[in-house]
Amino acid sequence: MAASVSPLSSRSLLSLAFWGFWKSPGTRWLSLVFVILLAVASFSGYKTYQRRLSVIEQAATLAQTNRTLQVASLKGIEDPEAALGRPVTKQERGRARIQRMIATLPTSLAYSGGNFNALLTPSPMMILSSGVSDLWPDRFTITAHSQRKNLQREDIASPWQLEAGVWDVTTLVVYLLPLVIVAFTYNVLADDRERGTLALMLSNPIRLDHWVLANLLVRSLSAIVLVLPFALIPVCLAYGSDQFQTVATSSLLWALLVAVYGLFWMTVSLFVVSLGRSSLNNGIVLVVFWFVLVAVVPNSVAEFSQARQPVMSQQELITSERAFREKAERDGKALKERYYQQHPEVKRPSHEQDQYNQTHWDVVRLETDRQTQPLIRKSLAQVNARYGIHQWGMAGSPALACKLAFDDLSGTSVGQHVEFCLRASEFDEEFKTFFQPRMMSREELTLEDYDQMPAFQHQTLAFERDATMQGTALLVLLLWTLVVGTVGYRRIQRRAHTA
Amino acid sequence: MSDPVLQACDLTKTYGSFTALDNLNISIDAGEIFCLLGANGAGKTTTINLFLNFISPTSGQALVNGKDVTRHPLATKTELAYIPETVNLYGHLTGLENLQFFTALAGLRELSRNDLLQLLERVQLPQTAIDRRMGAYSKGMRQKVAIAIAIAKQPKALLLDEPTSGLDPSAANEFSQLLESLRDDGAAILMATHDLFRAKEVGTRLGIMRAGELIDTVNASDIDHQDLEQLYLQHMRS
Repeated sequence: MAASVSPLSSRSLLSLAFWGFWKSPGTRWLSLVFVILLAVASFSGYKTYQRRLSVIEQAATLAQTNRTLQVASLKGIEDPEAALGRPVTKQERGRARIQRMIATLPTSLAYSGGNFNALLTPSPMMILSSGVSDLWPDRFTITAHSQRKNLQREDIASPWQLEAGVWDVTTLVVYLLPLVIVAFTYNVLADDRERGTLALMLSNPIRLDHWVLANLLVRSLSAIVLVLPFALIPVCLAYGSDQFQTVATSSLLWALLVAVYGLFWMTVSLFVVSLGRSSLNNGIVLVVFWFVLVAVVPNSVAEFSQARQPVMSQQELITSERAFREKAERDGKALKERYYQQHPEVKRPSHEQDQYNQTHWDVVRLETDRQTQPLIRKSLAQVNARYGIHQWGMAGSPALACKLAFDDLSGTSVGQHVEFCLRASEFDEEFKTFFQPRMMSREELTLEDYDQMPAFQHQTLAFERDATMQGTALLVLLLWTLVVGTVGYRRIQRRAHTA
Repeated sequence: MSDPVLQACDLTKTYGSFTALDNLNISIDAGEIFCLLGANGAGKTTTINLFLNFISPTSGQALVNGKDVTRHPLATKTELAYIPETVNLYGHLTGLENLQFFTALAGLRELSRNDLLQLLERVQLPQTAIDRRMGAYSKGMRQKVAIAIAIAKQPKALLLDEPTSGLDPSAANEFSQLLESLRDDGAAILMATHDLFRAKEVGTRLGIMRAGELIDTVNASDIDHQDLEQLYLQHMRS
């Protein structure tokens, strides 16, 4: 035995701290439970993503097929197999017949669903963060009906989610990762003092502050490392697609945010450990910190934003729309006359062309829509303003900063859904600007009209964002980490050698 | 003559108006066992804690191999080993794992499993206990693991705080033998104890403390058990 006693290098200190931690009772069990929870949440996120993607793709395919059949009909191609260039089922033949019938009729085409959609394609990142995607719509069928009916979907909110809350990897990271770090670190130093091993330990050439830091770092990183592999799931799914680079960057940012968030909680533990209390006291104080930072502050921000920026309810919108509609129905005749006066370019249809007085109902809907539209925009602006308050609240809560940044990365934030609704609203307006004159004149549609028809581009808002939200969240997290970490480290540094 | 390994120069520790240690001056050479005797609160543990730099002196110096422990805390600890009154190790680790952990903490990471087993053999830890969790160890067995840790460090100075308290006579005897072997290896040993018999058996010099002061020092070879007891009681009564 030729070895001699010497102070440990940082690497040796970290490796020894890890060895000791990994041998501690409960460490492996807690890690395993956490990983199982993350795996379950990932699987659930994956299933939701696949389901949503499938619905969006089906809607897009149906619209495309209908369009092909309609254009083919105008070109005189009656056989659906010739139009689509593939064998068709009996059911498809029936649908093709309907498309041929409505292909030239603007009113029928505009009122029938499935031809025009506003679709929000999900990003694979939503596997990690479902955000508000279960509460906000990701597809609208755009028709000649009122915009409120098109854009206000009451059937979106998942009863399960409303009952049980969101269950995704992000929720586990924001709420549970800090608790795992607390469970791993609450007894650093205190445990050695309580066991009576601290004196024997400090009779060796190590500094107490270095030992505490090494333990906190190793234990926090162990918790963080359990989460990081899950960031690879969206990357694997996007591999080989056009989205790969964006998804890879988003995953990297997601992992970075998780790491910094975990390190923030390490500094909270450092601060509490530096107070020099018992394991039990440390545990209680850390859970209080967790409760305040993860639950109280974000909920206070939500309450404040609700009080500061009320949002119009759907009930109010429906009531208003009904009132507008009743008035428009009363004034229908005058409104129709005014329409033709204000639009001399629109040819008034003959009695034969409009034998059921369809133009009357069209003009009523047009007027109802004209009056309801500002309310819809106002409602969306109110939601956006409330979201803005939440973004300010990021400064006061690292948990909120992380949650908002994660949702934004996944394209499932409130802001992104509001943006999608606004784009759908614009598309609805564009659609009506195109169809209204043709409906009011009841002239048949031509191939030229089909060329000019508006189309909603498939959007995946997660791919359009910049990194402002993530940058802000990182800044907030780093500032909190720096402040809490400095205070904690200074306190523990004063006791570098004392047992 | 070589410099003393452990040296206290006017070492004083006060807590407010209470003086825990008053102007202590001692020198302990290599191969010497200095036993500090005294009642509870006499300042024995304070002296050891000052040498370990667990507490800072109010005045004076504690030196290990000529280096002030407050100025060179890490350097002096490379030359020290310590065995507390109650040896508490990690109950969820085995004896071997505890030895591995504490020797690694001392920077002895290159010790092989064989080296560690030899150390446990030297302190006569039963073979069956080596891979058993520490929670099931008796006080004597825990003490042996602590001595193995101390031996592994090959210290120039060894600090012992009431090491035989609570040990049965056989375990205490084995402990004394190990202590003598460490002394023979050239370590300077400072032992705080209530056990006059054990102090006389293993000690080279004996210091009697009362109320923070070292009031008497005798060579162990110059006094027999009975006289030591008389002297001790006399000092305690006065």
